[in-house]
Formats: sequence, structure tokens, C-alpha cells
Amino acid sequence: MIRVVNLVKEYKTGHIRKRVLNDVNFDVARGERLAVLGRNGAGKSTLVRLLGGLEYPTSGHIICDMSLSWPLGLNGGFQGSLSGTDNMKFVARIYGKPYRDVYDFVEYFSELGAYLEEPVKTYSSGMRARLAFGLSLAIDFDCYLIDEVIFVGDQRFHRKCREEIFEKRADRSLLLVSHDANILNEYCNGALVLHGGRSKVFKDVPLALDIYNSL
Amino acid sequence: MKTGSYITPDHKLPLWSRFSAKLESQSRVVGALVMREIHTRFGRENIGFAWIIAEPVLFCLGVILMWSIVKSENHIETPIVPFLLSGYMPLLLYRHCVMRALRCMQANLELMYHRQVTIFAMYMARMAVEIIGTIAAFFITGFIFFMWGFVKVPYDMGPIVLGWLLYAWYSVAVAITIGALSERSEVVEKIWHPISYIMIPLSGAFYMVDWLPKSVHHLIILFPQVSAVEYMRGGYFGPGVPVYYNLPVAIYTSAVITVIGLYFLKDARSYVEVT
Repeated sequence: MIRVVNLVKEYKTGHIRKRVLNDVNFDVARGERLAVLGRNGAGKSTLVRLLGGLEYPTSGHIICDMSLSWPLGLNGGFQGSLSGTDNMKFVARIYGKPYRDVYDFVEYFSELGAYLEEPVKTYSSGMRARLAFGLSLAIDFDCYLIDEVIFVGDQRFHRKCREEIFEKRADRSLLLVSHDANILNEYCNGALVLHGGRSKVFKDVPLALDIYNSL
Repeated sequence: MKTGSYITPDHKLPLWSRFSAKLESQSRVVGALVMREIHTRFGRENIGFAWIIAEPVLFCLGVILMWSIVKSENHIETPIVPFLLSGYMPLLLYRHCVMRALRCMQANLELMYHRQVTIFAMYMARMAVEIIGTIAAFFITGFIFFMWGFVKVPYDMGPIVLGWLLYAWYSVAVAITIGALSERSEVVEKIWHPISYIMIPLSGAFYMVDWLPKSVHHLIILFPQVSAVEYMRGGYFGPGVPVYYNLPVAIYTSAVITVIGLYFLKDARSYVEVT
């Protein structure tokens, strides 16, 4: 369970303090797959970065007794000059997972084959997404922080994602940042709408999408 | 003013078990960073890690070559290779440590996505690679030149090792201080370069204190690097060669700089935005 209590995040731009998140409260239970909705600048990425520990809250608390993935997007988490396998070795080591298991899974899931030996900076965004998502599935977190851009793959990749998320990991949680109604309807069973620094949780995703569209 | 918090379930555990869990995870991270460091620094192509040894060997051979060409006024009776190695290699360590520490976080931003990768672990990994690499290179190089007959068996190994450790400590202390400050402002990096060149004569690398006028002996050994190098050389040459050092001052200075460095390092994270 993740519990977010009175979360506030301010940024200083020049002399102005800008409050991006203003008293945000919500819970994520096990198995809950929450869509994070909000217009540009509503603080979606900020929220994910706070949960991922990349930034610290200005005030408020994040109480978390699940293991959380790093924020999965198209960048971050990999050293571009190193090969896919070297990055896998690094990530496997810091999370204390046996490298062989990680490698086997990522190789199966990502279908990158010989590309795994190439530097990550030469990857296309689809390849990066497959590597990042495959790797995080191999590490096996309780909750995944996902930016929609990671679903850039083709149909085959989508099918694999669905299979891994719904069939094999139904008890895992998800925080999915997206504007894409189709993806949200498909993957999520709840929604968090961010607007004007405040948040509201909806159990009904289509309703949340309607409200979000009318903002 | 930081009132926000990120609470994980282990905050309920007793202090010692939290500490040992942190220690375990951090040593794993440092280990992983060290492996990564070796890959990115030396690559897997050609001789890789062996470069750290090849470099001083080439340097010493170059100087020996120059020396044997010039040779004419051979007024220095100090054996050239041990003198060079004991001066050049510590200086190399010092310069590499600081160089690797400058904007260390900026260079590793992608890795900060993994929350257990802390700035402290990052610095430790980089410093460890430099220290272990350089000290190993020193002894291997020494052994190579011993086989070729340029180096004798040291008089006493103790001061050589201790001198190295002291020098490494001072290097790390300066490196984390300058490194942590460089994360705050680019100016630090710009200013550091001229300062570091000015400081080279104060590193004790290219002379013995005994060659200097007697009146400055007690002043020059206030610099920890000079003391450490002289102490090392004392261990190699034995009582036949006069050396001068002031270990208490060196230790005290290193300790003070370490504390300052850790203080700045603690805050450095908040100055870097992970994009």
C-alpha cells in the first residue's frame, strides 16, 4: 500500500515559488491500477518523480510499504554508453537479483536479441521501452510507475505487456501516467485526476476520463 | 526547511538492523558502480584495466630515456625510478580523484533513477577504483622495474603502505569537497583547474624536501601530500636518505577536510535535478 498524505511540492523559478502539488492525498492498494490524469503542467510527472524518490516533497508524507519501480519512461535508468547487457548487470546487482534470471527474462520479453550487446544510446525508443519494461518486470516490483510512452511498441509487444500485467501479475499495482483513453481504459481500474494542484480519486475510469476532458 | 518525508516500512525496525540493511544494500550498489566504472573508464576493448598500469610504466620509461640522453650533469644521486614512482603516482591518484569527483553526479544522472544509488555510493565507487587501481599499479610497476634492476627491495614496507593510505585519504577528502561544491556551481570547476596547477609544486612529487633550503623545511611539510610522499620515500630508502615529514598535521588536516567534504556532500543531492 502506498499512502500519500498532504503532499505539497513547490518549485522556485526565479523569485516566484510555484506550487505544483497542493495538498494531494490518495492511497494505492495492492492490485490497484491507477491512471494518473491531468492537463499538461498539472503535476503528473512531478508526482511520479516524488513517488520514485527522484525528488523530495516540500511537505507532506509518502508512506510506502511496497517495492516501487523506478519511473519507467523513455529515458532514465540506463547508462547510454553501456550495452543493454551491461546495464542489465548493473540493475540486477543493485536490486540484488541473480543476473542469469534477469537476462533470461529480458531476452524473452524484449526480443532484442543481438541488440542487447549494443550501447543503449543506439536504441530506438521502442527498443528502449522494451528493455526498460522488461528489466523492471524481471526485478519484480510490487508497484510500477509507468509513463505511457513506454507502450510505444507494436501489437505483439502490447500483447506481451497485457499478459505480464494482467495474467502473471494481477496482484501488482500500477501508476500509469497517460492522456490516451484507450490505454487507460484497458489497463486501469481506477483514476487519479490532478487539477490545480489538487487530486481526486475515481473508481470509474470512463467517468474520470469524462471529467478530465471537461476540465 | 524540509518537512516532507518519504517513509518506508523499515523505519519501525531497530536502528542497528536498519543500519545493517542499508549497509548491505549500499555495498551492493558500490560494487555495481565499481564494475560499471571499470567498464566505462577502461572499456572492454584492447587491454582495458591494464591501462592504469601501462600508463606509469610508459611515463617512467620516458623519463629514464630523457635522463639517459641528458645524463651529462648527473648531480642527483637519488635513484631515479623509485623517486619518480613515489612522486608521480600519488600525484596521479590525487589528480584523478578530484577529476573524477568534479560534476560526478551530473555525469551519472541516469543512474539516480534507481533510488538506492546515492551520491555517497557514487563517490565511494569512483574513489575506490582510483585508489585501488593506482596503488596496485604502483606496486606492479615497482615490481616490473625491480625485475629490470631499476628498483631495489624497499628498506621498510610499512611506511610505504601507510604513506599511501595517508595520501589516498587526503586525496579523497579534497576530492569530495571540491566535487560536492562543483555540483552546486560550475565556477568551482573553473577555479579548481588553475589552483590545482599552482598546487603541483606543493605536492612533493618532483623534489625531496632535503633539496630545499633548510629554512622552508618546517613549512613545506605542513602540506599533507609532501609529508605523505616523504614518509613513503623514507620507507623505501631507509635511514641513508634524509626525509622530513609531519604526520600529525597531515592527519589532522585530512580529517578536517573530510568533515567539510562530507558536510557539503550531504546537501549536494538537492542541487542536482534529475531530468
